Amino acid sequence: MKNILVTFTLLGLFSISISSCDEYLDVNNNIDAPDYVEGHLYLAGIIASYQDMYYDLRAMAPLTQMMGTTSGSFDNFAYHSYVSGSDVGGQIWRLVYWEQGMNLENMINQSVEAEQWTLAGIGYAIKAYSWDLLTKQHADLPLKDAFVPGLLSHEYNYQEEIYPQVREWAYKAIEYLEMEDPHEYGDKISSNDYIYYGDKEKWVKFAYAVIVRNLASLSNKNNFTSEYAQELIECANKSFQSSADDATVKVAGGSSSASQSSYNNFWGTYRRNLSYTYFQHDYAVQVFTGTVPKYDEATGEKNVVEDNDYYPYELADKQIICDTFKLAGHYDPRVAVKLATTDDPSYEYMENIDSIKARKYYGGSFAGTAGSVGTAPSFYGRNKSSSYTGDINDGIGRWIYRDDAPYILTTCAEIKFCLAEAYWKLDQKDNALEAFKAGVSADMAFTEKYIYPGDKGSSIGGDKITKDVFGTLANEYLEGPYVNNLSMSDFSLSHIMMQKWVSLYPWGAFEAWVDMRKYHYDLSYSGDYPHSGNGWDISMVDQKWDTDETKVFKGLYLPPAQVSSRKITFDTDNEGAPCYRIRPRYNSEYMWNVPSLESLLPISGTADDYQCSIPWFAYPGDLPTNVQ
Amino acid sequence: MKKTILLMCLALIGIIITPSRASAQSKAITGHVMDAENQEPLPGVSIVIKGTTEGTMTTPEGFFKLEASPGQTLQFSFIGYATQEIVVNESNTINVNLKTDVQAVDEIMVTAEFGMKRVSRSIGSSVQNIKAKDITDSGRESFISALQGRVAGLNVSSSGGTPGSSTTVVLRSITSISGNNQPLYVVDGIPMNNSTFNPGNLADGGASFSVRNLDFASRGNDFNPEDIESMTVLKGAAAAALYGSDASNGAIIITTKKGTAGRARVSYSNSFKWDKAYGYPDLQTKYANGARGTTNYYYSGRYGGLYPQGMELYNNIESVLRTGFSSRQNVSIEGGSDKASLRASASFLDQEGVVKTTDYSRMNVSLSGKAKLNDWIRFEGSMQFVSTENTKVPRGTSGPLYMAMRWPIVDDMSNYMDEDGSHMRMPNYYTDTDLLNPLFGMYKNKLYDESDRFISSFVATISPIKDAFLRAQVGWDVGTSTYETSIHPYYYNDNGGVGRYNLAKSNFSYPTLNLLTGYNKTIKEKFYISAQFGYHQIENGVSRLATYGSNYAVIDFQSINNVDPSTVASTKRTTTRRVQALSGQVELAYNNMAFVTLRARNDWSSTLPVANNSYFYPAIEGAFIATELPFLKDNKSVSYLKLRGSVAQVGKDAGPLEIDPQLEATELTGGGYQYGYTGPNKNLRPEMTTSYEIGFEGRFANDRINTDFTYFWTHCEDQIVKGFRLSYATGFVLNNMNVGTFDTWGWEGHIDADIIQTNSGLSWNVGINASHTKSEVVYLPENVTEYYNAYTWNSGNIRNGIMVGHPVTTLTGRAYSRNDAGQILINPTTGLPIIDETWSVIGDREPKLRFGFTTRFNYKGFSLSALLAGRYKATVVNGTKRTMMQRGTSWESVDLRESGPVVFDGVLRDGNENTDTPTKNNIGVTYDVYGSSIYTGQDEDWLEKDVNYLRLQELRLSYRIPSKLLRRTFISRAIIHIAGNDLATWTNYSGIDAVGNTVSAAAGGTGGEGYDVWSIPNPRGYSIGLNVTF
Repeated sequence: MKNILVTFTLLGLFSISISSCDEYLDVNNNIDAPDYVEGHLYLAGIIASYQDMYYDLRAMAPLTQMMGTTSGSFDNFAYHSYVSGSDVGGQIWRLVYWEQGMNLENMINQSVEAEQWTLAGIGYAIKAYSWDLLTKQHADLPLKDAFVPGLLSHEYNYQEEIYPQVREWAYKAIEYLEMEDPHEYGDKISSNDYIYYGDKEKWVKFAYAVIVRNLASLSNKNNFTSEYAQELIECANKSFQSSADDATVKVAGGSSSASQSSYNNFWGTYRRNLSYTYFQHDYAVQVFTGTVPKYDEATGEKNVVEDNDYYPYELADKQIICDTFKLAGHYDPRVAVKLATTDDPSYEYMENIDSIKARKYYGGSFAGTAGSVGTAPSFYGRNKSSSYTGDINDGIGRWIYRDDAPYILTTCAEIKFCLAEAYWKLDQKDNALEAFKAGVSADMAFTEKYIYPGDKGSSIGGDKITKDVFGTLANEYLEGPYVNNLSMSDFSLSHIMMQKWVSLYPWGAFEAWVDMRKYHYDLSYSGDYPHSGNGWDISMVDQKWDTDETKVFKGLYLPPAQVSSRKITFDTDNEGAPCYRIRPRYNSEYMWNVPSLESLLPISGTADDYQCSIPWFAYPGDLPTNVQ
Repeated sequence: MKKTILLMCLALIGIIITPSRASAQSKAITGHVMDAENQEPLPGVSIVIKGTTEGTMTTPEGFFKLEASPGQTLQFSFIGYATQEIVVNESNTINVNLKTDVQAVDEIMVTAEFGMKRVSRSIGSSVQNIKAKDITDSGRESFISALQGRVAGLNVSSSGGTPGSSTTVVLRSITSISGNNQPLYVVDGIPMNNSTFNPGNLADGGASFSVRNLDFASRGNDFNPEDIESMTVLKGAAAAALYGSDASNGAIIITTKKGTAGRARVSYSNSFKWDKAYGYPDLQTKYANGARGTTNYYYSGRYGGLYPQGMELYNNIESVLRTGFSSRQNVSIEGGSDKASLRASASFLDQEGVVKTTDYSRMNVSLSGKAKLNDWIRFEGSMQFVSTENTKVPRGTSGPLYMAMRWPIVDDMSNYMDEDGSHMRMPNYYTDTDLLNPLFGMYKNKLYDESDRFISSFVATISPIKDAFLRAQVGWDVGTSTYETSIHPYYYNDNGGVGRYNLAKSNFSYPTLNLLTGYNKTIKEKFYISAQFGYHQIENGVSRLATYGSNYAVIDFQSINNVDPSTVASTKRTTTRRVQALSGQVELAYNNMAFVTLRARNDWSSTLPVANNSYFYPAIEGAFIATELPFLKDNKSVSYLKLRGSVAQVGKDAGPLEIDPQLEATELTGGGYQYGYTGPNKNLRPEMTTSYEIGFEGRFANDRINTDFTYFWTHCEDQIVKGFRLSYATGFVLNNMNVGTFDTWGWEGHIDADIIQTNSGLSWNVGINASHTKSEVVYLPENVTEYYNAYTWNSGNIRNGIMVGHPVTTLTGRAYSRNDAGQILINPTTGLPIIDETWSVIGDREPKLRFGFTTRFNYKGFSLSALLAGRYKATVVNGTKRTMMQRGTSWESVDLRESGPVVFDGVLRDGNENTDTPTKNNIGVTYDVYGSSIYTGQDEDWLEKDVNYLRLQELRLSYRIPSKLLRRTFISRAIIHIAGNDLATWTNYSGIDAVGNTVSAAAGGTGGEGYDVWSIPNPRGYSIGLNVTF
């Protein structure tokens, strides 16, 4: 009996130690991070994730002939192909759906709920910008099914539905930002907003900029002038007025001393992403230096000239950006900043205008540094992989190829060129010319802002021009024959679009690609949707000659064009068509959402030539539903 | 347990009856009793003069002494052994070899869940005992590695042959696509932590290391093999059902030594082992660095011109290797009475691996004991303290072998320091600056971990009334580990790095409580019923603090204090999983012949949504002893035949923090929070595994042949797949979802036979075990064509892809494009084969057969034993050769470039490929005009199929010094041995290691077995050692 008593006592003691079941099991909580945060705590991360744009620029810049690359993956984009089974070119997909994704949704929803209109407005502006970017890159997207809990597959929406939605979000942003917001934010917004530090007026301008960019991409649609042009002009006038309004994402920098390498710009020397894998393209050098060549229309070859040891080819009669004369106003100083040269390796002549003008620039081909004239250097100005250590090095980089340079989202210059193009389309050429001049001027200011000159006599990186010298040369150029003294009779759409291309170089390759696509790469375009035997030839694309009045991008020839160093064939999968969209991120859609992708029209998302399917924005009319 | 108690009782009886009267003619007889099989002395053997009550017992060393007269018969009996009778003759010495009584083995008790014993014959599923001696004699530093080849259906996959490598054990087959597939390790009834640290948890977020290139030790290897008294492998879910979720992959039950009654005994053993690496590929010595036939040391590929005559060439792979040496020393002391016994032991292991700088050391100190407080309270306890230290090298294509392969052979890599005495030296001739000298890395970097740990358990058993018990078990496995990585600033292209340092501290605490009560009753002699009921509580708490910094102030100093303070980033992660459970078991037996056991458990887990956190799962097993049937009983040719079967379910919960999305601090400018990769799933349900098995055990030919065979089938439904992907439109990249369903099935069996067995002590036993497993994925959501484990994507595009209709061990890759007739399509422009855009099935890693072969030969004091293990018809990914082709360092690449134009077998993709008359390819491709990509080949080229593999894992010769020689010393027993491990491998595989594993055990899921990407195989080991008892 005693035994039993002892046993039960022990048993009793044990059962006391067993606490209530629910309480005992309630340990599935993260004690190292909150499960709910206030909206503003998402903001810095949402903004900083725009670094992903620079990941995809590795595809975009080669595609727009801004850069060449020796990367075996990204050179596929230069050739209008893609890397099958790979996520390359899919980083913005990741940015919009995941990195901003639910963070941005939460920030917007929480702010609206709490009537924090400023934060809600900023959220919508960001959302509009990001989705505009995403649809321009990939065209059709899961929009309505995005972020809906519990779905296993996500249906696509066509771009025709996505475009108005982008503008609706932008208008929503403006509406919220213009509402009276009595909340005392303290520094909650200003210290987390790495774009405008809480400046609401600038955010409103930014939201208008998003609308302008959205509408500008429709400029070649049949109904542009009747449907969109006026709205574009109104929004542009409410948008950026000077380069001080430019939307840029500031980064902490810190180079090797940063606690996270991603505090540095993707293009800085510390992260080594440009290194010597990406370099300026031959076409960029031609445009920036006024050396677009003249091709023999019979052979497609260039004419060799004997007496020029720098540029041994006959040049096209009409250059759009500048020319090779050393006269004041004929030299565009942006070449000294945006492009790289190996000249003046020890930074002796940063202030010597003659020396600066005499520098030689070389561009590479699509997949190699060897170009038609010389060898393209790295963006830091050496024929070497970048380095931030050693006796000779590239320091923290230069201009926007720098550890602590901001990421560029959009600029005043870009908006002015959009405006100029809209006026041009409406045949209001005076207004167009004014907007054009304002655009070039704004880009000069933009370019100058980030100049980071090297140390005289020291070979440790930096820009090879000072801000002062740049300013002087910029004023000369603006007053010269290519801008303020450009005659109305010479003024052409090419001036607007190519100056825009220069202003976008190379951070804005996304928008440059939009422009190239809407003008169909200046191909002798049949007007039909690409498909074999439907105006597109598997062996060669038929490109307009530079002498053709209607050719917008002078000097632009795609890899399979009829001119020298372009006589390469597209991949057979292209069926002769150039690339019009980037395929959706492989490990999101091709692995896990195939049935939805497959149902896309007129070319199925799983077709080998889906990247050639023309998006709605670039197609003059309504998309065909069936392509033979 | 019962065995020991019985033994003690017998000892007691012996003491009482020893002072017997000696008869007039009697004389003193001395002798020694040993196990006939292994020549081990047998303590506690009862010796009785037949027909009297007089007798004695053997001492702990097996000696006895008694008075008897010639003509009298001595009866030697001992539980588990056949009783032997010997008539006293003129001799004063009688030495006896007792043979195992197989009949008695029937009654052998198997340690089942919670340290409880079950009669072996009543169990309806496959259970296998491993002798502790086999483990300690294996020569392995880790008891886990020692299991390979010994147990049918147990596969040990080691991540490599360097000291402290992690090990993955799979019983029968994989049961989880993405989660844990390892069995539960249980020490004295208490689960033991067997986790492996994932380098992705370092504070640099996996920027430096992953499960592919760095492998930290599995915590299970901490355990001291010398402390194991017995080990039982519970293979199926049924056998381990009462342990619940954690044992859904089976369990390995370890009972530790607790000391034996009798005079205090001190034992000492040691072993010294020398290891020698072998099996590495031969590098070509014909063509120098360069491309397209032109020597150019800017290239790391070797497609250049011929090496000039007389140029000195170096074997750089050799320079990272050395002769490994390890020493083990164990000392234990034990003693006690029938009421209480105690054992203390200490063990020291020091191991230096065959790859320079690698080492592992382990110290185990343990104290254990048991006590019978009174007639109804018993107590047992054990504590083990373990301290380990391990220095390692990176693996795979970050490892020293791969990097040595890339180093130009015109340069002596072993000379790794620059003349200035601080920088990494660049190879001669080589003009690029991107090569890293692995030796510099090995000596100047640091990859290190250390761990201190307590494993303890305490059990009190109370039997207040007859046939009933109450048992309380408390266990606590607690420890702390430190993981450290340091990358030297000069271990970088052109010596241009800044130094990177990671430090992580991981504390774990696994307290466990089991309360059990049971009742047994025999009804009317033939019926027996036993019932048991339990309450269980498990907690797995892990808390990890990791910090990272870079920019070393002092170049050669490795510490978090030596980094630039502004670069320091730290993370903390704490997870707790708790499970409460109730279990019950009812066992019914009839006449020791038919048994039915019903078992069930209900878990409540903290890791699942509250609405789904309770799950119930039952099991039933039955056993029938056919040889108990009257017409089969006492049949010498079929002495024992048992038929068994079971059906069991086991529910499994999720991991901690897997229901809700987690906010994480951003690593971008401005900080703040952002969501991690994984989305929410508020509807997560427990997954359910149902397993069926049938089998038999039999002994034939007078017990000389022993067999066991099992067929099993497992249905894994509603798998919680971690890291399952969907469209990013979900807002997340990964999800944890109940999505996968698959079946596995197969068989396992073993047979062993005493080929020779004589009374003179000569015996020869041979055993074979084999297993075969198949699996098929039966369901994945419609939008998913393939689920893959990203970490297995480790050679080209080959990965472990899970596709409906295919095994879970499927290899997928980018196959050659084929026409409808299956012919390879050739690009009409280049003459090269075309590759599919998407992944398709290209192979299956699971071999047709896994097998082991054991043999033991005993004569007098000599014992010779061997263990071989192998695989039949496996598919292995030869990632090693692929990289050698890519770099042009293999002799095959030389053959190819010298072969002239190659015409790939296939048809041109010219539009006619699917007609009746496809154009046969006749385009010759000259390898020399292509860069390395053509040599690198495609995924299908690197699957070696039908690989057969046999390894001589152990060969051991031991000699027991005759007791006569020790009679006058203080040593009561001494054994010396020489042994070899992994002495030879026979295989048709052409890479390094056909059993290579490309990922650390930390990866979990389907693992990286069958991928050889610069594996470091087990070296050849030679050891000598001594084992003495005082």
